[in-house]
Amino acid sequence: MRVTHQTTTTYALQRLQSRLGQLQKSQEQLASGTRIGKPSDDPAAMNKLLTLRSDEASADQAARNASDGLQRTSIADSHLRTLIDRLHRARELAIRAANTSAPSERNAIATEIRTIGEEAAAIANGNSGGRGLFSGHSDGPAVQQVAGVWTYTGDGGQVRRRVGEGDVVTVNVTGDDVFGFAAGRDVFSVLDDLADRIVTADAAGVQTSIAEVDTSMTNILDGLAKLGAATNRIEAGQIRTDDTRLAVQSEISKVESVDIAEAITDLQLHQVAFEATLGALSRSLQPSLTQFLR
Amino acid sequence: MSDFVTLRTALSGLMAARAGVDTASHNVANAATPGFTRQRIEQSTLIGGRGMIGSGTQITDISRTREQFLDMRLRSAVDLAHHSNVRSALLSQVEAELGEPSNGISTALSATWSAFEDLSLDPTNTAARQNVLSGLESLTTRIRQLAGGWELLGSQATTELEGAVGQVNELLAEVHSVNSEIRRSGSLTSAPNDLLDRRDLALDRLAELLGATSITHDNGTASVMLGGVSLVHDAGHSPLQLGPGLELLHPSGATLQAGGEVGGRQQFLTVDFPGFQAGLDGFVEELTVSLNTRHADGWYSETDPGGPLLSHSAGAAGLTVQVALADPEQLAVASSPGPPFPVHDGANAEWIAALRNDESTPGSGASLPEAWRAVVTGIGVDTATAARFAHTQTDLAQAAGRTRESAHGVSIDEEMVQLMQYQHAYEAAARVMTTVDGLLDVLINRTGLVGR
Repeated sequence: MRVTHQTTTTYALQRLQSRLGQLQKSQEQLASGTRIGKPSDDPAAMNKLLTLRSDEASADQAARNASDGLQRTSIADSHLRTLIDRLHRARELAIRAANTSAPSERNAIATEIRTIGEEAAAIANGNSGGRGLFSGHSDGPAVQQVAGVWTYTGDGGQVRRRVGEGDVVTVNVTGDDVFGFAAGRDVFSVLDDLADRIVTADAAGVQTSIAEVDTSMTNILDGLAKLGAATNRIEAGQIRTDDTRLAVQSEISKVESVDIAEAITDLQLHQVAFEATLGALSRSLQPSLTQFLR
Repeated sequence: MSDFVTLRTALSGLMAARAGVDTASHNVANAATPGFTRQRIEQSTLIGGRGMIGSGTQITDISRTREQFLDMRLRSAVDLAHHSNVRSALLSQVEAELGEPSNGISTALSATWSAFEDLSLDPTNTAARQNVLSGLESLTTRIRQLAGGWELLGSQATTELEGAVGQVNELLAEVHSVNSEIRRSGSLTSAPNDLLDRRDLALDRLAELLGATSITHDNGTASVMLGGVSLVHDAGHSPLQLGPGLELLHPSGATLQAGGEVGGRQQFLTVDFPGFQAGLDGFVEELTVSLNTRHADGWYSETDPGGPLLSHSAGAAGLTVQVALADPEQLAVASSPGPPFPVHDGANAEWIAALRNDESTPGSGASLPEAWRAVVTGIGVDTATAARFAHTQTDLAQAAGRTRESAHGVSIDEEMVQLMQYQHAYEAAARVMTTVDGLLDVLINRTGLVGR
């Protein structure tokens, strides 16, 4: 093949261009830290990357859902535990009242039981961040006296949280169930009646009331058990979500991250090649017969 | 034999050597001129000597060392190279507008689902409601930006296509006018080399722009054809124009299949680009329908179900999509109207957020993120394939170019040697003249002096 100065120059320029292109590519990868800057870099990996990022966002959201759910269950749980404590106190007082005949002491006991009743109503209407703990989805108080009768004024709304892929947990119990409205005998009326019976020294009535307090406690304990089960499921979900996030993140890094050691080696390799091309170019373009003719 | 004849012989050598030096210097002067073909003087002995002794040399031709075959090979290679390079460049611009994986629609989409799900955790939270609306706003803005960027890209590509066709017409006119000049300048034996170079350069450019082929005739003129339809012929040239569907029209009314740059732009504008736009519009329509459907499943008060979240005008979904809901209180977050209205029910926001993984509409087979990923991957595959093809074709065209350049191009060293060769020939011819002069001197001045 005949070689002219023009062919040498164009060929050298083309080589230089392609070397510079390679150099720039490895520089870009190192600077950005990602192997995939645009879809055409690796369309299949891009598809996977976008899927993984979507999975990651979904897992992040599940983690937020879980901690929100956990907060709700633990607040409801502590409220119900306090209520159980107060009911134990009411039961003790009722037993003491059954064994005393002094009206002044019975009155004092009745007053304390009424206070417990008010406390129980306050607990039942407890809220977290402006939302009733036991009122389902409704905005108003969970329980209130309507025309002198204790009434559940919430709704049956179930608060659900997605704590993992396809794992939805109900994180609330409604006042309807835990306070005995659904069973026909609510804890607030039980306490009110108990106080009345103590004042009137209705011994048989007090015994009935003690049994009713026990039933109320059973209802509340059922609620606590539900909340506990929900807490367990959320915590298990959290662990799974954390695992998923870790797995997804490591997969993302596998798909898109540049292997720094490899990239630096590549960069240096391309740099050396580029400089060598420049050197060769300067040598091959310099000489011409004109320099040797006099 | 006359001594003067030898003087003439020497003169013919002098003149040939002069012509050789002139040609070499022309070659050196044009060493870097694009499209220049090195020229050589063709010498032969002068016929007309008597007996065994010749009567000198003559220049029969100053030839171009042009090989038609190399031209043809290069032109078919640059046709494909320019076709694929132009298309690949346009596709990578389309791809750059996507902004994936970090600043694209996928990210905005993901943020939207999270905003809905956050709202489902706390439906009465005004900030969460506002966040959903601003998430939708940035999603639709990103979509409109993308559609607008593509629209601009398409119109630029169309303008460039028109420019390329204009260039083609200029080149066709140039080939035709050079043809006329060549015909005027006479026979092939004294073909005007530099005019031929200019014409060949125009033919190269036509191959790049259009993929047009050419035939050189015996009289030195060339005709240009595209797919068997003549563009430049003896009588004139046929200016091309673009039809309403961007097809290339011959004055006869025939539609031409263009290659080269024009073909690359046509393929992009009529095949690739509408496909991408349809993909985006389809995605936006799916997004609007599924978001609005699920939003309408919910309620924001005892009497009011959710209204449309997004809207777009028909036919240009990507360009016109916008958020149709202005009041964050009208986000239908609850899944039932009550009564009483379940203020803290976030189930419908959750239901909307589930579009993250659910089929966008029953039976569609893909979720919205999946549908969008398919669009992105499609563009990525097209761009990557086009870039690879362009790379290969460019390499081939460069190799063909080098081969042709090595045959046609000027080598300075070679020209230096030629110069020296002709210089020596010139000196030797001059010496012959001196010798004849000496001979004549003997004859004229020193002959017949016996006895003087």
